[in-house]
Amino acid sequence: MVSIVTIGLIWEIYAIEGPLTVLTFSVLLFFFAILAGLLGALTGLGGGIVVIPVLVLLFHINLHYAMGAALISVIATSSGATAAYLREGYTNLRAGLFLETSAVTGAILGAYLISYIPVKVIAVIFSLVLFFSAYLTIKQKEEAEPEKTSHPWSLALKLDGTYPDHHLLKHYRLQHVPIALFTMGFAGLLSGLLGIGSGSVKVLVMDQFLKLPYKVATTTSNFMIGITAAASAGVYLNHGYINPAVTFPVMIGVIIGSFSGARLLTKMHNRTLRIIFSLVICLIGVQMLYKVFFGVLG
Amino acid sequence: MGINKIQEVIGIILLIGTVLSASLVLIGGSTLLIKNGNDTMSRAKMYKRPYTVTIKKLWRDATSFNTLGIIEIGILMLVLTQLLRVTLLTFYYISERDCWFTTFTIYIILMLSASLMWHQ
Repeated sequence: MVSIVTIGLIWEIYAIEGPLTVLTFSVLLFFFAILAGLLGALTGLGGGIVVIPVLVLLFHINLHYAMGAALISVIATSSGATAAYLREGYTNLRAGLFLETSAVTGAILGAYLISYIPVKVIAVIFSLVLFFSAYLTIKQKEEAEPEKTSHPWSLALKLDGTYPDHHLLKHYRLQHVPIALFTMGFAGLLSGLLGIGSGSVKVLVMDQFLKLPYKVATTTSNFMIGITAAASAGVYLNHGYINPAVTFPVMIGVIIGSFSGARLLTKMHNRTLRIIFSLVICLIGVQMLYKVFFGVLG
Repeated sequence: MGINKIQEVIGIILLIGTVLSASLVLIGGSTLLIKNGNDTMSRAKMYKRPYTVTIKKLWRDATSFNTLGIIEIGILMLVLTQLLRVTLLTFYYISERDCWFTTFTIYIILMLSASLMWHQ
């Protein structure tokens, strides 16, 4: 089974180099988008960050088109996930919306900056984010002791919350709110600049600064990603970064891949697998850098 | 209306919006493949970026049932679903007389709208 898939993959990679019909191209894009969505969901990084290098390195698609397709895929997958998570009661709506003001500002700024930053520089920044994300994938998550006091801003804006834990409602209190707000702007900037969801950065901010419980951080991040990405999408649309012919197979493929990956994830908590995935992400990052310095990127 | 009810409604809106958007993209894309499936892929088009669309052009494309236009409308619908969801929250916070969060959500709406109306 594995050998058939490998042979199929190798054949397809060669097929990409020759003349292609629109149909073949779209089917190949669709297939690899599913894989990207799958890997994205299994690593928890999201389809966007994985699909862009695939489109650029394998299909030689213009980086801007790849970013546009990825961004749209990110909105779609995060919307689906949010619809599922909202009902569970983990999402902190208030904290999410509060931080989102900063994130959308960063996102629009990031999207705006694309036309002023050379493609090669964007590709380098992208590679660095890939390495950082790979590190985050294998970083051990520790549940900290619940805090006894809340940050004054959290009290004023009523950002503290509860989450269900074994039929009980546990309280948590937010810390370091101003710095979280500021850093979230940076997450938004990355999202706009690179066409990704920045979910991993958002979770990092909420986990490290706000001290949100992990499940609250991930669901709230999911809640926010769609809005942040939508903020850049308008700019992307108006600048022509979104090519419908590319976006169509990618969006559908990533949705299917992410959905399947999310279902597989419940069966896979293996640390070895996370390390393997992390290495794959790093490899992709190295490939991107290689292309920047020795290839024809941009 | 309690916040839990609002969250339920948002969840439904997100689901419907995403499904509708994906359907439109799929319909437009399938039509594209049926019409142009056998055309040779223009690599030049994928390398360089001459593609520009503004919201106005998008409406023109969509109403002329241009295949790319249908995909574009599907994409736009995805973005508008996000706008709708934040708008709903704004109304909720207005009804709760929550000044801060009304302000926050209105700010987000303004940013989303500004991005959609952005001109080169």
